Amino acid sequence: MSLVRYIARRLILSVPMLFGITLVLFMIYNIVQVDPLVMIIGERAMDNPQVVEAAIRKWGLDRPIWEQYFTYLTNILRGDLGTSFLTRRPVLDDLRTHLPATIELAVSSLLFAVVLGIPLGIAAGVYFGSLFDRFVWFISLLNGSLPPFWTGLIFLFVFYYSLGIAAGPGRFPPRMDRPPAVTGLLTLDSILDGNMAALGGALSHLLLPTVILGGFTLALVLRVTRAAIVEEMRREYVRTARSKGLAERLVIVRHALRNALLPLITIIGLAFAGLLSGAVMTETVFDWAGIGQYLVRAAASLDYPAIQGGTLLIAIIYVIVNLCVDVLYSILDPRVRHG
Amino acid sequence: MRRVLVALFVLAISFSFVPQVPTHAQSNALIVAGRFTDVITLDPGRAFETTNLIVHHATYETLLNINADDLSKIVPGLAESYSISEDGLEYTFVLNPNAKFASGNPVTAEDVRFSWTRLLNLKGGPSSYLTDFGFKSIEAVDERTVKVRLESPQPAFASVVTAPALSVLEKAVVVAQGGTDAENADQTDAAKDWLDQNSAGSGPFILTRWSPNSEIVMVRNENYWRGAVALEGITLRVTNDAASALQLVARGDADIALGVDADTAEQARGNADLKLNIGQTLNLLYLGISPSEFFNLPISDARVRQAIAHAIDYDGVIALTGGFADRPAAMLPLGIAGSDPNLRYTRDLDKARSLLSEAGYPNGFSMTLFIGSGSTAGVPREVIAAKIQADLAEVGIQLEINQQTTPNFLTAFRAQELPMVISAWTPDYLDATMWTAFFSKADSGVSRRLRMDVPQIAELADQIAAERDPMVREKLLTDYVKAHVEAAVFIPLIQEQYIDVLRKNIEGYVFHPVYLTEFAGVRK
Repeated sequence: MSLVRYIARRLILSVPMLFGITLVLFMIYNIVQVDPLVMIIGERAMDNPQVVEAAIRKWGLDRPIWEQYFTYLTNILRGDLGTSFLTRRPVLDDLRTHLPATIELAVSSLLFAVVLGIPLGIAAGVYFGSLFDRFVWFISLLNGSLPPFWTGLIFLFVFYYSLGIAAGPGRFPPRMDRPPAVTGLLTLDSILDGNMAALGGALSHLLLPTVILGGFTLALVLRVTRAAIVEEMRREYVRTARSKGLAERLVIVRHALRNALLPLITIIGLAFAGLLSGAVMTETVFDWAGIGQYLVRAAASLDYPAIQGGTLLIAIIYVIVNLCVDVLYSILDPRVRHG
Repeated sequence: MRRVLVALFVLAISFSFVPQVPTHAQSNALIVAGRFTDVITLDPGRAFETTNLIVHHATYETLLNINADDLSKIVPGLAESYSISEDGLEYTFVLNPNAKFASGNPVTAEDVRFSWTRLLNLKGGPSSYLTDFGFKSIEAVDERTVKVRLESPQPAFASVVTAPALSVLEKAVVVAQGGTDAENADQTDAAKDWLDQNSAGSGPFILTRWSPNSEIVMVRNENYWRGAVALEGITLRVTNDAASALQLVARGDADIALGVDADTAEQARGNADLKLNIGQTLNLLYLGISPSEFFNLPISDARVRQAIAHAIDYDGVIALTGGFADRPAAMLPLGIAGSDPNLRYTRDLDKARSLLSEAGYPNGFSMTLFIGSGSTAGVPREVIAAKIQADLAEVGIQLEINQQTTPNFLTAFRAQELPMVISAWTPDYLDATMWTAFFSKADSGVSRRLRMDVPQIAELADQIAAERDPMVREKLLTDYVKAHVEAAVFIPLIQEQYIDVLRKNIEGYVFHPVYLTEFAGVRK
């Protein structure tokens, strides 16, 4: 099967999956017996029949459920995710507002985890059992087991509040003017604006949450890399490569690493999808106005359209990331395509 | 391997060269850290939450005002004077001839008519400011005179006029952005998106940006008709908790942390760069006990409710807030004329036990106490509920606590399904009817939810709503409080105090129980 056909088939297969997700979502929120009007118009205005009637008409709450679902589905296909009860803005606009913050943090955390995690994992795997290996193992265990909301609070307290050497909560220095919004990614917008001070401001605020959130992923990447390298280094083909007189560096990079990459890509893909769906705890501790915080608020106030839209977005992110992982897999290991 | 280590080292170094203390572009702007996550819209015709009051009070103006130093006095705003017709049905406002919008254009009677009519026809939550008060019509008599007619006499109307929802917007600007005051404005008005990011008012500041869950930015109105203020601007910066707001203020990244809890206030006390500003709010947290036979519970007997009121350790409840709270005798907060703290219940366990015996429950009984989520004065509902549970257990009343998310709780409460609750009440305008209209009638307000039907209280509420003589009204209010104490349906637990942490150099900041903040006079 050619690569293109493989991708096409995977894409087509994700359509019924996404459709199923919308149906399940819709059913769940219709089973929950809560009057959404309380959230829509506020407690006090519920006594005003004129306001109540206008709201019921506006949100289509007087129509039968199947009709509400059908409307919802056709709207999705037109790119309309509905209007949030809570923010009263189109859900798509809300997601657009909150997604850049999450993307910025997810990308920088993933970079941090991969750039540090893979080399350290290789080194630990190659020098398996050494003091260095044990040290790295201990650090990664620590990183992976300390909850980010706790380390986040401690880091803020120590490095921002007490020592004053790191920037505080929020995405940008409070007394600095933000660069004009183009992408919503403050680092990229600063570069587009040619404003290096703003770029510094945005990067300084990324530092602590990246270390906290990325640290968690780093531990994961490191452990998987180490385990894969340890396993691969024991294989026959590595012995063969060595016996050919190949330099050890080439043995590791060209042979062992290439095979170790397979499990690694799966882990990194899943971790990235997880990061993109919003790291609620880290976002909360660092006042990071991202998707995670938005969805938690939506869930707490039973804001169906926002929950549905957000869940759909996350489902799409997972589908895309999984697709990328599988494609990368099939490039690295063509046998996968026939599986 | 060495190359990798060198690369890592370079990466680490480059991270540490990121500038940590960026330059201060807006040196004379006020940075205010607080929760501010409740904002749904900043359109004065649509917003019905709390943070919007801060923004609207800074960027718009109302015809009349109530200043924080005397809550019983209504003072001129955009209107330099007003008069009420003999029958109490017609209000005539005369606009200040100097009043100008930020655009430089004068504030006219037509702008007032447009703004109020739009508010009414948007049919959103805040339209109740007009509909609840029998609003009939508004007319721009001439350039500077506005006539408002009501269906029935409403002595509270002048104080309702001070509500930020009744702010005056510049008609030309709003219309240019798609706004309309037409009958079907709820379907056709398109100015919301623009008003979420900009303001069209006459206040000391201009809204320039709102980033949801992140910040709200206002700059000084250089054209302010009372003279431009000292601050260059105000940024409301969202923080999720008081601890991080305090960190921002302590490090100088913010100037004020708004509405912190008692623990944070204690921490701030130990910092020489900071000071506290404590304001008395009118927000009440209450225990509501249904007197209705409907639930078939002992609490339908007034003596049982009075026993509960005598069993509560009020000082202990207030201690939970770190002492940053007070309490009135009934649902009429301290600071409002007629609210008499001497009528409060105090803890008297013997009295409570004898009342229970009289009612036929010498060994107590068990029932369920319902609560939502959230907190008052920094104390979560479940903590208050546990305290009440422990207090009542001392007289044999066993409470089971049922906590739900606020929407679920409110749904059940509104459906008149809950016999005993802990809930809160926050005023939107400063008049006694803000409480008497909602805690008195069998067929409306919070009293309806608890199935309270006490004719004496309902009659007093009607008399209070219609009475125009302040002296007579105060007497009626005192009677109203007494009747409520006797009925023991709503038992106030906490009247919240609002604690702000300020940097030492901030002067002229005033807490306001309804608008929350007065920024116009702030200097740093």
